[in-house]
Amino acid sequence: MDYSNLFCVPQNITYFDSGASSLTAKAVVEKMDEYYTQYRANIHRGAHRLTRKASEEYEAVYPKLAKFFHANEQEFVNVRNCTEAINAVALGNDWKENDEIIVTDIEHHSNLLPWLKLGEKGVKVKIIKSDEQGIIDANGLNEIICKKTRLVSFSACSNVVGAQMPIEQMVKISKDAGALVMIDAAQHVGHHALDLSKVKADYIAFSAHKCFGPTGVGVLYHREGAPLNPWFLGGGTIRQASLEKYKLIENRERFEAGTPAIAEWIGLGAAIDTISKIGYSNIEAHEKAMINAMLKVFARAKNVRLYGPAEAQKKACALFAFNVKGVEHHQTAVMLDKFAFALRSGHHCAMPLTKKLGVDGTVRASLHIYNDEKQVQKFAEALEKISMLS
Amino acid sequence: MLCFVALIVFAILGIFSAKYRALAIEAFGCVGRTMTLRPCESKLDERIKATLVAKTLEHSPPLAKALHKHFALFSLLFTLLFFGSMIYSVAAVYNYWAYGNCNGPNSSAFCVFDAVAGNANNGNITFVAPGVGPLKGNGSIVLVEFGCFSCPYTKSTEPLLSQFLAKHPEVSLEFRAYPIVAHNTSTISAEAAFCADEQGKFWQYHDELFTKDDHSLSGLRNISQRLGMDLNKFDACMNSSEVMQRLKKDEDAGKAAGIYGTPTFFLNKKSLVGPKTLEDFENLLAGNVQHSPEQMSSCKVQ
Repeated sequence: MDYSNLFCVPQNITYFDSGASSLTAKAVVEKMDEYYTQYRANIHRGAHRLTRKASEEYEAVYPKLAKFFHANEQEFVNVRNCTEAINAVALGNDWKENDEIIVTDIEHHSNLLPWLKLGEKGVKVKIIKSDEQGIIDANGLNEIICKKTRLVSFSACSNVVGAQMPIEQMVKISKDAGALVMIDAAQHVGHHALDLSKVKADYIAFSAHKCFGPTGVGVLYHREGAPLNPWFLGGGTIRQASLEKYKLIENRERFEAGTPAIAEWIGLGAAIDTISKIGYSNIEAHEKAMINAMLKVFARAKNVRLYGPAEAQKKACALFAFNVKGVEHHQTAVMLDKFAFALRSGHHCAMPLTKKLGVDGTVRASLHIYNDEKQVQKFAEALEKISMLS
Repeated sequence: MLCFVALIVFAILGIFSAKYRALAIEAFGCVGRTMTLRPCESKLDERIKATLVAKTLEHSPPLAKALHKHFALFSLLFTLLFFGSMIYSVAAVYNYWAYGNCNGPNSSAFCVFDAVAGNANNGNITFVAPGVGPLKGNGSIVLVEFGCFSCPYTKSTEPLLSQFLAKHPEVSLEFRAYPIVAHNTSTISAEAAFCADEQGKFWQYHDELFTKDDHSLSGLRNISQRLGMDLNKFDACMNSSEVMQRLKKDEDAGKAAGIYGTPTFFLNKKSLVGPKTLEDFENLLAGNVQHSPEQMSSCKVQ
C-alpha cells in the first residue's frame, strides 16, 4: 500500500535521508497549523479560552505517548530533542567518582559526549566493541559490566550502518547487574514498536523529527523511580517560591522549565497518531521490502562498498552506509543530488564508528515508509553511473 | 584552484543575486585557505567538481571519468585560461580606449567591441578619389582624409600625419569633413572650417580646431578673430546654405564610400581607418596595405 500521500513529500527529488530527519506527516503540519491559527496561546498561564484549548491539546499528548509506549504519562518529558534528553540524564543524576557508564562504540556523539564529559567528575566510561560490521554482541556487555556500573546507554539502532541492537538482552543484562539503562531510540521509534512494559529501560530518548514529527521537540522517558533531578529550573517547575527557597512540583512539570515548544509537542501527538494509523506492522513490512531491494542494489553494484550488515535480518531499519570506490563520499552525495536524490554524507556524528570502518566518511541512504521500489531502481541507475568513475 | 575562478565569477554574479553572494563568500574563504596551503573547509571546490562531473556523466561517462580523475589538472588549465583570457580582455579594453582598436595600434584584426557596439562592417569601403577638398602640400600623390574635428581619434592622428607629410613631400593631404553626429560640435566646427576656407585660412583653422577644445559658436568666432578673418563674412558664411551643402557633399561622399568611422584615409586605391602609426602610413603609401579589413576602431558613425 502506498502511504506517501500521508506525508509532505518533496517534489523533483527522492528523499533518502530519513536517518537525518524523516519527512513530516501532513497531519502534523495540519495540527500545528490548527494551533497557530485557532488557539495560539501559552499553556497553563491563564483563564481565557485560547489558553485552555492550547493546554488541553498540549496535555493530551502525554496520555497519547503513555498509551503508545505502554507507560505512565508522568514519565514523559518534553525536551528539545534526543540530544537534550540524553544530556538531561547525564546532568540530572548524582554521579560519583569511579561510577562506571557503559556505552558502545557505534554511538552517535549525542550518546557518547555527555558521558565522556562526566569524566570530569571521575566517572569512567567503558566501551562495548562492535564487530567489523558495526554489530554489537550482548556478550560484550556481560564481559565488562560490574557492580560499579551505574548506567548502560546504547542506541537501539546504529545511525550509520542500521544494525539491529540486541535491546532486550542488553536491558536484561544491565538490570540483572543492577545498572540503570538508557536507550537512544532516535532511529527506532519511527520504525519499530517500543513496549516499555516489556522493555524495562529506565530512560528513553528520541526526537520527533525522526518519526514524522516536527523539529525542535523530543521526548525523554524516565521510568518512575529512576533517579532524575531537574537540570533546568524556572517558570512552571515549582509549587512555591520565595526569595530564600523554592519547592518543586512533584510531577513531570518540574522537568519542563519555561514555555515549551507547544505547537511542536502537539505536532508530535499527530505524528504518533500517524504511526498508529499506519501501524508498525505495515511500517516494518514496507521497510523490510526496502531493505531487501536496497541490498540487491548494493550486491549488484560494481565498485561500491556497503558498510555494516549485508543481511536483511541484521538490519533494524532501511539505512545503508556506502562509498563508491575512488569517489569521495561528499562528492558522491553531491552527484546523487544532481541525479535528484537527497542523501547524507560524512561521519554522521559517529566518528568512532566511521573511523573503525576505516574511512573519513560514508554516504548514507536511509529510506522509510514513503519510499518505494521504483525509487530504489532509479537510485540503482544513478549509483551505476557514478560507479563508472572508479 | 577553481576557487579563484569561482570567487571572481560568483562575486560578479553576486552583484545581482544574494544566492551568488553567499557562494562568493564561500569562495573567498576557499581562496584564503588555498593560498595558505590548507584544504578548503567549505568543500566548495569538491561541490563544483561533483556538480561538473555529474553533469558530464549524463552525456559522456568516459569524459566524466577523465574529468573526475584529472580534475586538478583540468582546474589548473581552466584557471590559467580564465586568467589569461582576463588579462587579454583587459589589454583589449585598454587598446580600444587608447587606439580605438582592441588589437593594438598596428593591428587590423577583428575587434569584438565593434561588433558589440553594432558597428560591424564588412570592410567594403570603396575608394574615394581626390580632387574635392582643401589640399595641403604640393605633392602629386594625394592622401584623402575623411575626418571629424571633434573626434579624438582624428585629433590624435594629426601629429603623425604632419610627420608623414614632412617626410614625404611628394604626398599632399586633402581633407574631407565627415562630422560624427554623436559629437555635439562636429557639424558646426566642420562648417566653420569651410567658412575659413572661403577666406583662404582652412589649414590654419583646421590646426586651431585640433588645438582648441572650445568649438562653440563663440569659440569658433574667437578662432576666426585670432586668425585675422573677417568676422562678418564668417558669420554670413556660417548662416548660409552653401556651407551646409558643401558639408553635405562630403558627408554623402563618405556615406557612399561606406565610411563607418573617422579618420578614414584613402591612398593608392586603399583605405585605412582609425588612428594609425607612421608605419601604417608608410605601408599605405607603398601600397602594402591589404584591402581594409573587417574592423578597425575609430569615431563611429551612429
